Amino acid sequence: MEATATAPASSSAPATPRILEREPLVLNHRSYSWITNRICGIVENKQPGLWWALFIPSVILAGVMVFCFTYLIAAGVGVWGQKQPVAWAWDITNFVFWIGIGHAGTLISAILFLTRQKWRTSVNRAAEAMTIFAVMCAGVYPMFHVGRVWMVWFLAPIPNANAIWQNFKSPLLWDVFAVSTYFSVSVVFWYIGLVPDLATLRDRCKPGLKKLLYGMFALGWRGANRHWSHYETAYMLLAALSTPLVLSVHSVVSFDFATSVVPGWHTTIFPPYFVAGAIFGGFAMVLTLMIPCRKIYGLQDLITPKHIDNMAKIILLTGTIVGYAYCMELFMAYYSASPYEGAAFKLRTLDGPSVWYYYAMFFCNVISPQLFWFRWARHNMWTVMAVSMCVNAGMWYERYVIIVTTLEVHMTPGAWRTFHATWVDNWTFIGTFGFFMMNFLLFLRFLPVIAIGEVKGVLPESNPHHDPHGEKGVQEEDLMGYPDRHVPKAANA
Amino acid sequence: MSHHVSIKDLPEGGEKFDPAKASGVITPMLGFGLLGLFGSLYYFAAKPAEFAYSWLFAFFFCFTFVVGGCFWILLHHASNSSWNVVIRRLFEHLANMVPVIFIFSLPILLMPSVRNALYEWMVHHQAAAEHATNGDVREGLHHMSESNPHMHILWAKYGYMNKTFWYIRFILYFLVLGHIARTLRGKSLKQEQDGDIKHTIKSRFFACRWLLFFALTATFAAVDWLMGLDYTWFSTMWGVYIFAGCAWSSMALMLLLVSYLRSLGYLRKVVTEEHYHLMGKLLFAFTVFWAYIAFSQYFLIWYANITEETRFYLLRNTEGWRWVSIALVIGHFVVPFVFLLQQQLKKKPAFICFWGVWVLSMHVLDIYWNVIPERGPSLGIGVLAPGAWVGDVVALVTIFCLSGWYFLRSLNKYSLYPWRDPRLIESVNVVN
Repeated sequence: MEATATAPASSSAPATPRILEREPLVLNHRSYSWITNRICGIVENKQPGLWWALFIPSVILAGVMVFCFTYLIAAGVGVWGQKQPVAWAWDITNFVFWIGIGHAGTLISAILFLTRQKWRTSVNRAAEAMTIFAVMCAGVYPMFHVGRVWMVWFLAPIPNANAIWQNFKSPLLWDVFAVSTYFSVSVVFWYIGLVPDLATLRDRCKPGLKKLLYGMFALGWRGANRHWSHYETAYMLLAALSTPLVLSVHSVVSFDFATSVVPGWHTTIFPPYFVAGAIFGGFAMVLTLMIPCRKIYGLQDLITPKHIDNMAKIILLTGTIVGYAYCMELFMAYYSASPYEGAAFKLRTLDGPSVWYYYAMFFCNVISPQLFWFRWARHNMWTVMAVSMCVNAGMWYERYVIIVTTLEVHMTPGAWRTFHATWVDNWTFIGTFGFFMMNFLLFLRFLPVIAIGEVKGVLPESNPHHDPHGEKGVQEEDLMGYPDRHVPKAANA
Repeated sequence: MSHHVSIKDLPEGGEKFDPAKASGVITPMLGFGLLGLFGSLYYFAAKPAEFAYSWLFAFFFCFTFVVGGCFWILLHHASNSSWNVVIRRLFEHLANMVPVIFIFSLPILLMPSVRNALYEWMVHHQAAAEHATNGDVREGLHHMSESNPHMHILWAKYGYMNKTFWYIRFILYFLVLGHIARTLRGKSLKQEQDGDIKHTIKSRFFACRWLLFFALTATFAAVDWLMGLDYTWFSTMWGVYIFAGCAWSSMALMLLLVSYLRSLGYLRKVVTEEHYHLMGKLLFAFTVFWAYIAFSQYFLIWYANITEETRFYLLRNTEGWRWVSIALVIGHFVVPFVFLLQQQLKKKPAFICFWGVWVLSMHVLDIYWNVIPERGPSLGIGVLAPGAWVGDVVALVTIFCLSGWYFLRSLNKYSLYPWRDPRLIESVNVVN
């Protein structure tokens, strides 16, 4: 290997091709039992102090969210800052923001599964959980925005007392179907994936309530050949079913805007641009959560720098796609020579009241991920965290730019009005973060954060053709001479 | 795969194509191409305005394969994937057809009668130059906009839509694609000489960077050549729409090419049913992706229903073109979607080849539907100008057959697959 790394390119090289090896997805040759013990240990052992330090404020903030919504019910939607012409403000911004975050989970589970990306196994479980909690956070906003939350069931096409029929021509109604379908399928997908691991937890528990509950939800799983065979078929079908949903949800969300004739909203690239943005924001949130997680729970051998590297690359790709869409919007505003389009983008980027949001968005979403062109940036956890935070913020700015800054200066200058968020807006949003974190921390506490069965499947020894004594190829890391390459260390129990 | 293939099972030096074996296809292609060329010369002389659209349609159809070829090699390198190694050389060869396609673009670039027939804005610019006192087109457009509001559009976007910049961009598109294709094949061939793995890694770096320029090239080529046919129309999705068709059709062409080469006895040791399955899956994925993009663009324009945008679809939803639009929905999406969904069928070369032919036919229809209605609504299928379609066929036969002939004729220069690629064995033994 040494010789290969330093050998100059010459005609004396062997005529047969050399083999370039793939990086291992589990480091330090960890065994099956080590993986089970390490992941189940998170659930079985006492949580570290940091868990409580995060959990208690999260619960308090979730309570603040409940309080804010209660106050809103008591006083009316006017407690939020929106007034005409800004009828959609933080509520819809936050709705789209959370829905976007909820995209990475199903993308990782479904699309990366169908494209046989084995690295997904270390992060899919947590990302799916995150998806479900994010969609819950998203769902509450339109629910309360309708004004009378107790009437929200009118959105469902079921007979009601006033014989009100839903407006099927409205993308807002399609949203109800798209989001609820996405949520249902994501929950089922997540749960099906959990079944074998729940059985593992059940088998390790002492008799008692815990064992009973894990046993109940494990649906009598015994790890039999037939079980695995059915499980894999079901998983594949659910992945196939979820894939169009990943695209449809955010496409339908984009229709909320793009079907209108509002300059700055109506543009044909919105559906794929929203989907790319959602994947972008979702992956940033996965990294934001998983980088601390792997450190706190000692999962560095399972969520390796290779995983972080891949996710950083996806962020770079989707961030660049989003940048392409921003530039395309600007270009077409110019190319169309439409005075309305031109004015909308001029106000958004040059002389509107909220111009800085546009540049904050552009910096966070397009410029900051460009750091990921450099390997050192993808391999330095602080840089990855910093860029992920930028993207989290940037994706919120993006929705704010699209929704609020467009409506602030919509068509009639006499009616222009700058939006100011109220304390209820602020605390409701902060509260949803508390609710999200609370759920995620509970997930860490009670369920296996990594799919145990799936990670074992990507170990080299799980391959029936694996030959431990076979001729070794060249590691890319050797060729590149990276200083921080991960040399396998002696495994310690 | 019946057994694991090792390096020793494969011939050193790869496999070389012998054009003599394929003379049954190469010679007729040359024959038809030359016949078409005579026909094209006649049409250029007799009906330049009408034939300009035929030529653009045929040229753009073949151009999409080159764009698709570049995309697939860029993607394969950038994503560090291995399954594709055995077919990558063929994609490299497809992408390297850039100079040939450039030759076929020359009538559009050099013949004023063709350009003016296709791009109305150029005629207006000419009129504006004559209208202005000092020949300043921009000033002329400004004056003309007082009597014709459409001229205001041309005035407003003069910075982009002017002849000089158009010529520069025209050349630039070919230079970018040519550079991508040449560099990636160059590195691959160098590796065959020295066996150095670093070429693989360098190709990856190159591909990541150039994907960006590729995206811009594909987008603006589509804007200039097709969207520019109607200078009043615009859509931010346009570049993505055309790109989806490029990736789709070039994968179909590759399926047909691989099958043809296998029928001649080549690639049999390296291309397995797993590769067919993978290519079939990508064909399926892009069937859906195209439909998603096409639907989104149509749906948003239909729903908003504003006059600035609707002209494109009004033209294609009236007279005979309506039936072509419906045929595209069914043939470009519904039918291949249903059939390509099934895993077992995608592994059968004969089956997947049928769908390759189907996809290419639908791609012809798609490009036809994009270009030809602009020749004039009166030329819709329902009341087709007598003989107009003959010119379209002649142009298509000319460019497709002559390009195809050159492609197969020059396929013998290098091994059909990169035989010293460090991921070759991984590719040959791929299971998905």
